[in-house]
Amino acid sequence: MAAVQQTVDTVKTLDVDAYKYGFTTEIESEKAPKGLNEEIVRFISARKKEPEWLTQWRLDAFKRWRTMEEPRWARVDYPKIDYQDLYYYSAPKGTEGPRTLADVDPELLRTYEKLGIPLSEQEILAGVQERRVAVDAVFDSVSVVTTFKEELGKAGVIFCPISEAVQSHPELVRKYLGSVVPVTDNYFATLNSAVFSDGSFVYVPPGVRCPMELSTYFRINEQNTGQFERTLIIADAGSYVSYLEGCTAPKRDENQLHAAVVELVALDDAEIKYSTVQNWYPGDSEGRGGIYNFVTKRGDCRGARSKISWTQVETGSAITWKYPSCILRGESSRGEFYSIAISNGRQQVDSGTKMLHLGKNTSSRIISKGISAGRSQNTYRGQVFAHRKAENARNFTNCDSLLIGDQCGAHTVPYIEAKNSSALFEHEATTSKISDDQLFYCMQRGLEPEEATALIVNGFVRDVLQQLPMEFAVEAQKLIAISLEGSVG
Amino acid sequence: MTGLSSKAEEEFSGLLPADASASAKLFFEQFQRAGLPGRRVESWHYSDLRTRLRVVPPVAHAPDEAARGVARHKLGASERLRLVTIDGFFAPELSDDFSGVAGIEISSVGEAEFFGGAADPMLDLNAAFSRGGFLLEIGVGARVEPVIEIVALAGAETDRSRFGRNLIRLGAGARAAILETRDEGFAGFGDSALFIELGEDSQLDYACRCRETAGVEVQTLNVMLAARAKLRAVSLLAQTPFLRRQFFVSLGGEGAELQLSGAAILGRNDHADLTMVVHHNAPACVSRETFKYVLGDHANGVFQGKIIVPPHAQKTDGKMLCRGLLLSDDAAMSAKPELEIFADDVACGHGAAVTKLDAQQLFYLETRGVPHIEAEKILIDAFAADVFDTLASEGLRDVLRQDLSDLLGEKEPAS
Repeated sequence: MAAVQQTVDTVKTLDVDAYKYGFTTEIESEKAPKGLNEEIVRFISARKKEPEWLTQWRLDAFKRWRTMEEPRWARVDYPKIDYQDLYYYSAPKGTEGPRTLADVDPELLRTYEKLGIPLSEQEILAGVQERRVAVDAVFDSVSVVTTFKEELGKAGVIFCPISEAVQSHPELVRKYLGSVVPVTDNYFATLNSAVFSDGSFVYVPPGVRCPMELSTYFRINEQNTGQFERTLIIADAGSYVSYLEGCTAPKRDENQLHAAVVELVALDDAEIKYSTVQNWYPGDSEGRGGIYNFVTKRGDCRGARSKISWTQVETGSAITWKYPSCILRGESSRGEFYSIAISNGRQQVDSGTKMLHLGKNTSSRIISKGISAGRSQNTYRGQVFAHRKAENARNFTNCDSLLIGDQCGAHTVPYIEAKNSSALFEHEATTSKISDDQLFYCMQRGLEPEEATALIVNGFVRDVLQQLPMEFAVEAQKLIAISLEGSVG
Repeated sequence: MTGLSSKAEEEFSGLLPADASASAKLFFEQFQRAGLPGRRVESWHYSDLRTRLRVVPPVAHAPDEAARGVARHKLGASERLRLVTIDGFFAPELSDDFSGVAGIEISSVGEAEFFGGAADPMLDLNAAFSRGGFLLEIGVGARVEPVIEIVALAGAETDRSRFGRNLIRLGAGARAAILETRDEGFAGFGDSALFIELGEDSQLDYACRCRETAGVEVQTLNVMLAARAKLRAVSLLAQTPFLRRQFFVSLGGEGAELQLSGAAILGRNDHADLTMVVHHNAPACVSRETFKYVLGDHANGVFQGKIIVPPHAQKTDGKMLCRGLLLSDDAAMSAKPELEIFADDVACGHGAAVTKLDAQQLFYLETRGVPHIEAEKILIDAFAADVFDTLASEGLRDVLRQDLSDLLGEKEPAS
């Protein structure tokens, strides 16, 4: 039994405290005064030199937000957030002007290097076989650098921070901003509309297959700040784009707010693949600190035969409140949602998706794998809806939960609403623990309990991992092993 | 917590008699605090009582001779042992004499007899208004062979508010089969509650058919199972203008077993909501929930199921299944099968499927010379009838099968 005890001890020291992206970057930053009022909204707008219509748009959202109430229906429990005790704008000094790598503070570059995010184009170009990924790096409230812009420009793809897009492509931003997630959508989306800082803007012109993966890397660094990024991706007729976002934050004892909005628009025959590896700081094993991740993500399959696919690997955040959705408006459009949500320590996850079938012959597929360990609570909440006119709507949903340890909870709350007789909806869900037989089998062949668990879990989530771009799948697999450390014993 | 009080809530307040007991007033205050549930309340989202119940009909009085006359006329003859209620009041004059059957005790029930039910505003409202219910007791170790039938009828006036509140109690090791027939007419408002308490090792087969429920009706079942007790319950709903039937089940002793099933055959503008919360409060309990909906015309079917497994309920085995068959373009089905699990050594699952009749199966039958309408009926019958198989009592199964085939016989062609 000594060996078992040893494992248990090792595991105890690891626990969720092993978060490896918990360092802070010492860098001077410029912040707006603490608190939230009309002045702050105007300040953010002015810092970004936004046109009058956008300032007004923000102010309208702010006015609306003040009349709204924070939603409480999710199965998460957290103390009341003091919205006046936050900084709504924080930017590393010296980020203005032309953004080339040479202008970026070396301290920042080192940060991204530590995080394993390749910002230097040179390096990547040197490696001949390496797949290239264009990165937009967002640090607190602003985008610090976007790589491969020129090369993308040749293909006609616009990939830039949204604050830049407001200046350079106002007609596109004005046409699509808020068209998927309206200003009035929900409490956090409205707050975001008022104070959104930065995020990515992607436009892929008709018929273009984006030559490389696009990616955004979000980092919250400053204390007491909220991050409110806004991402807008438009895939014009017949185009294709694959986009990946990643996120981390330093370890801090207080909670930080992250309320993002992501809007996707797919026109006729277009396809958007959106992958997320979310690894915000989850708080320590006692539940101190961590990110509140309150995110509104929605894709609009506006055109016929368009397709939007969400893939998410959720391992971080103290609290996750996130439902990437698809509005299947176009005829024969398709929505997909693949999710792995892992919670450990005292994390709380309430996540899922919405598939709203409005058009004829629309189809959707939901594969969700929830894994809860430690003292965490993991909820899948999803809605599948077929409108009266959504003839031949098809949905298949599979959500499986795995429990590791007897202190955690796994919950499933699906909403299935069919208003069309030709719709075919199937839903299945299971909850179980890792089978002793499987563990025994692996250990018999010489694997440690931890390794065996990781192996079985990786098998459990394989369906979803397969959907990730290859290099991220490898990373995600490692991430899963790390987040489950300390869960066996 | 629903904000402004609705007109109906105020009317209830006016209807509560001044001489109501202290506990009735307490229950009513509880109801007032929560308010009449509507779509803003998560567990009532699909059945908006606030908009459906605008006017509250006067509260039904204890049955008089006229009411008994109407009921007697409706009853007719039967071979089964019957226990009759009129407008929710126990009517011993119309009920059979049970004194000759060993192991059965029937009496009036007092408020103190009921065990604590779920926290639900409509259950509180029922407790505030109810009077004159019955207590049906099956003694320890008694095995009652014949089917006992509970018949709920309306009195002379149909447009009334009814609040039946009854209790069935099985002693340790007892066995019985109970059929409930609800036939309170197409008008008024109903808010009834049935409590079922099963002692250790007891077994109950319970079937309920609601053919003509009141205009707006809520039926609450509170069930408590002791160790190794078994309940097999089936509900058959048809022609329900607005019905919510909710089950709150507590599997309170180790090894208890629940089979909860039902079929809803709906057409016209019918609305039927079957909601259940199954609480696995002890280790190694088994629960199976199986519900089928056949929806034609403008019918609206709602299924809400929730299995709760607290940390100490290890070795729980729970499976929930809900299937909807949409026969018309205007019919709608909403399903919300929930799992809430805090224990790790469990096997829980749920499935839900909504679709129309399978064209290939129809074609197969038609190629064998079965007319289209007949083929539809065969498939619908097969789809719905298998929920009755969970019953051990053959007597009950036969009643429900016959009911279903009668229902389908009346059916207009679906397409």
